[in-house]
Amino acid sequence: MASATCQSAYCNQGWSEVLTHMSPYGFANFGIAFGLGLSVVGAAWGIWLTGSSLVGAAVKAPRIRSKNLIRRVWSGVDCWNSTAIYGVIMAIILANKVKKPEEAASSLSEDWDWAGYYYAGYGMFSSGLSVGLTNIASGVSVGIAGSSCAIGDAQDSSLFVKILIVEIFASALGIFGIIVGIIQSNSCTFPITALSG
Amino acid sequence: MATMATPAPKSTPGNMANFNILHGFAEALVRGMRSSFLADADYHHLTQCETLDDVRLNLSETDYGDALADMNTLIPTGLQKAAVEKLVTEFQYLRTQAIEPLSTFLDFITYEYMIENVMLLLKGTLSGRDINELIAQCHPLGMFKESTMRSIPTFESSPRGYQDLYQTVLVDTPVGPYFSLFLRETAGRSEVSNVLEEVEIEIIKSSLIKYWIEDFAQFVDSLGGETAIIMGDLLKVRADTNAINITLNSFGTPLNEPAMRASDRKRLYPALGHLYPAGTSMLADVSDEDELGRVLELFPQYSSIWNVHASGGSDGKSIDDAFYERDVQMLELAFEGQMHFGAFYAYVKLKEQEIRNLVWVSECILQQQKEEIHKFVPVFSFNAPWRAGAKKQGR
Amino acid sequence: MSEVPPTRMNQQVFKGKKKAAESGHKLLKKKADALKVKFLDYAKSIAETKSGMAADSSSAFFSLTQAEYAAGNFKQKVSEGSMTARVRVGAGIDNVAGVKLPVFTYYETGAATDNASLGLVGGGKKIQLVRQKYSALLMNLIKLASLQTSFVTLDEAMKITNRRVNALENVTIPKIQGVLTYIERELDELEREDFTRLKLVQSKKKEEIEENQRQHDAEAAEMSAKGLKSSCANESDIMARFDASDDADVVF
Repeated sequence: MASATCQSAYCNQGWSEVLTHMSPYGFANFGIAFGLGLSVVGAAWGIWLTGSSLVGAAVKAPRIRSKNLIRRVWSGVDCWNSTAIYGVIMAIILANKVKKPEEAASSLSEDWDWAGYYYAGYGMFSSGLSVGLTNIASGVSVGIAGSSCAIGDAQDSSLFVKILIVEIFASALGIFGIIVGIIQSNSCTFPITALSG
Repeated sequence: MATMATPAPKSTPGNMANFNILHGFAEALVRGMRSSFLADADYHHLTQCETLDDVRLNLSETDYGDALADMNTLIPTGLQKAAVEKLVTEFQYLRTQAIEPLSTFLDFITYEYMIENVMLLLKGTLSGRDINELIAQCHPLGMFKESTMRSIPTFESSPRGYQDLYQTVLVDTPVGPYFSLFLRETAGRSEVSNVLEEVEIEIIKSSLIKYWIEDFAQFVDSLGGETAIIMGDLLKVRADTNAINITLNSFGTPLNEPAMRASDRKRLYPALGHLYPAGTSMLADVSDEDELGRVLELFPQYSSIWNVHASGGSDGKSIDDAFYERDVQMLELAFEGQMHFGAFYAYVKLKEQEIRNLVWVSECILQQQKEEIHKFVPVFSFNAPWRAGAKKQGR
Repeated sequence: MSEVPPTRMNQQVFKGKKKAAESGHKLLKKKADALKVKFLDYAKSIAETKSGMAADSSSAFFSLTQAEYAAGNFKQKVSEGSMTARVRVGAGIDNVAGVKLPVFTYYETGAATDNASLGLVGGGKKIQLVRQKYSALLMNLIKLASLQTSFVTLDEAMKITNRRVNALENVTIPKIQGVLTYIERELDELEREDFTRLKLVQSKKKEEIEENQRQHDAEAAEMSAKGLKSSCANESDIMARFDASDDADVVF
């Protein structure tokens, strides 16, 4: 199909060519961006969902406005920030793995570790996505649960601890993402020199 | 059904993940007001009172304390007025915090009271009553816009005057379309004053309420999601309740005459609900209580309520009490669900029930009817039959 | 009493008066008794109606509360409805032993039942119950008002009658009786006086005749000596024997 429309040597032959011709450095950095960005989106979404309920519920129950609000916000912030923090941690880990080649040249040598090079690029991209997507899910989940919990807590403060556990379950979803993400990125190391021999 | 007054909403309330983004605050506000309902203990203390001063003392510790603070002597009507005003204040607070489509939804709740007020105003001006006096009697939840309210007294109390009142003012109110729909259906009697004189006020009101339920149901349906499911069910049941009540209460009135049954009574049945259309077409032919009972036998959810009535109110319960009990149960469930608009409707209706309860208790105390005092339907009670049943099964 | 001259004619007049008073007393007594019977009757039915009324009115008012619980506030709708009365109170008159008693009756004007379908969408049955209870209460109220007004009127009439009976019994009849006895006494007295006087006159006359006879005899004896002179002195003596003040009462 593509050949039918474009016969020049500079034309891409479909998505497969675009993806394989993209620099692994680009993949790696997109991975970092998605990992951090989606995590923050998840956290923000969650805080948005809960925050509106929390503030609304506090109007008729001034009790949660003072002491409990601090506890609640602390736990909430803990849950959502953990979501965002997972993203930040993952971003730092991944960023540390992106290393530029020792000998800067316009083109890489023939005996460059191409397999390791691509492996690292795809690996870091997908580990960033793993963290980012799980953190969105976890953030929204904490948000919905937290919204209901804030309303419940406003009516009956004895529910606080029980409710917190539910929120932690939702928050734990993000941990799965970061664990898998770290494992995924463990073996991804950018080659900095050409293979010797 | 074809031409409904309110256009479909431009946006939907959304689902779990994005409902709170627009409506989370307002919803949490209404949920916060859950704490303002009187608890079982409050009701217990109220029913133990000997005088209305005791009632006031007990209420001063509840959410009604502020509303009753500047009242010298408590009388049931004053209590009702203060409680309704409190509800209206809360409702208007919610309304100011609401954004589309919640704001339209909240307006829909007030239309029911507006219908009542329109009827009161039209009928009152027709019989030449002082308009300011009439405005004072209007339900505060169904008040029109300030400009409308101010323009009403400028019309003279003459046939010409209320013709103008209808054509220039009331048609523009949100319930005006229901009214013109009613006039169109009552074809041949286009003059407002004629219709008002010829048709009984309660029948006009029932017709307008029917249009309102249908319109509301259509609006709710177009909102979709949880709101359509929960609120739709509430409205369906409400429509059925109206149909059953209209049939039951028409016995012994001209509405039950064979000629009127098919033409006038059938037209009052809302075109939705669990009874519609098979049930309502059967109800249209019913001429006495036995036949009504036979029709309701076919609908399990209503046969139990009907049995309360048929057994002659064994424990002093009437069909109205049975309906109230069922309503409270449904509304409580609707209120407890999250991320839908039904909670707002449920809140207003449950508060209304609570106000009814308060008036009932205080009237019983005033009239020394101690043995009747427990015959009300408490809201969010842990002793409610449906909860007591759940507790037993849980064990 | 003393104004009545004790004459035969007056006696007759007062005897007539007494008879009239006695028959009047008898009639009034009968009337008083009749009124009393009626009065007790009314008192009894008032007590009955009143005792029923307390329960009736409280149940009527409570049924209104029940209806408002079921159907919401419908007072204004009722007040906005047409204002032709369905029930009116008629006033009549009952006659008990000549006393006119006001009687109120309940009657329906036949106007169509207004607001028949009130509470159509809920609570209609309760509102019908209120209608029934208040109609019954109204009927009782009218009955009670009628009884009460009759009771008061009857009470007033009975008081007047009793006063009349007592006045006849204790004042008028004794008074007439007193006059009659007085007249009788006086007439007796006069009779006795007349009798005594006549007797006295007779005896005096006899004496005089005897004296005259004797004197005549003596005169005749003296006449023969002195002539006519002494007869004049005797006449003045007779006048001096009767004192006018003794008979002051007797006026013929």
